[in-house]
Amino acid sequence: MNNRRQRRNLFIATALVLLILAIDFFSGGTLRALTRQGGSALWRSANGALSRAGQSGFFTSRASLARENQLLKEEIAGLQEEQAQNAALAAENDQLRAIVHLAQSAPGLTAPVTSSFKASPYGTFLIGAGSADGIAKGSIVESADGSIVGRVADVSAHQSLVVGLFAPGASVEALAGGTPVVLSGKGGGNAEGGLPRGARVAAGDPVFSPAFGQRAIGVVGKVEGGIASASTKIYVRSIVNLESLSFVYVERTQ
Amino acid sequence: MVRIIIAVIGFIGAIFLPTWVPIAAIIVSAFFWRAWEAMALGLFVDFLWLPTHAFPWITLGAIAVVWLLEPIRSEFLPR
Repeated sequence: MNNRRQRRNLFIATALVLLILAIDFFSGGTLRALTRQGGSALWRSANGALSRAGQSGFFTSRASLARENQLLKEEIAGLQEEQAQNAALAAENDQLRAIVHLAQSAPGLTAPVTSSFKASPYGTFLIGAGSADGIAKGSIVESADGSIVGRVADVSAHQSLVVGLFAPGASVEALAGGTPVVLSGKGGGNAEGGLPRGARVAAGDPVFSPAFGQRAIGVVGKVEGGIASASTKIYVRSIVNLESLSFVYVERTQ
Repeated sequence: MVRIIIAVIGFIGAIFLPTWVPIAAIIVSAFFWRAWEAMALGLFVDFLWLPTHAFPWITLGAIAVVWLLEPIRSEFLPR
């Protein structure tokens, strides 16, 4: 009896999940925008706290600080916190300064990254700017040095979801060593593609994409098969290390 | 209690930890219990990371796992 009731409850839960999915789908993503807002706020606060704790040296110098008297300990802790905040601001300034030159070549805006890069199964991440800031679906997202990071896939008022250039399942038309190739994203900033026989490509060659105005999108990391082989397989990695990004530059679509 | 801990790890993992953490939480929960939270976790992951009109792989995968494991749960696990 209990078994049957549990099964009925599970059936109701399944129906409810499908109903929520349908409501979100037909409302244009209202529910997922709220979920992202909450998730992003949680990530930012946790990330900020962790980064401050890490930079203050709290975990490494705790034993030595414990030996000092209470007064000095409080003073040092206060100074360390201040120093950590300064260091964090300096790092932030460096990134923002590097981004400034991009604004001169293409109109757009700088947005903070507000989520983890490794948590998404779909090669996506969140940024803290949205339609209210002029971002539209399809806008190109770049790193501070102008390397292509991805495209905006979903926009809410103050937040956007970006699909990484080499997200799992994504495909990008590119040129490797002057030969056209379609790269298939594998996630983690990696992609692979097949070139016809005779293509002259070597590890370290830059890869350009006509879809992004012939800009460099990656570097050939490994080549399998040579000139004599029936085909050549290349492994490409993105130029920028996604996990090191705190800010991105989003080009406004005209 | 264990069930709640696994669910919490799954939800926190969906935001902070690598992808395999919430997926493992879904599978483990669905294996041992009639876990409605496994489906909710799948939905949460898709809402967080998937563009609006893309196919919700993790949600439907979680539903499939929960229901495919139902005969095994009914057969082997204590009621």
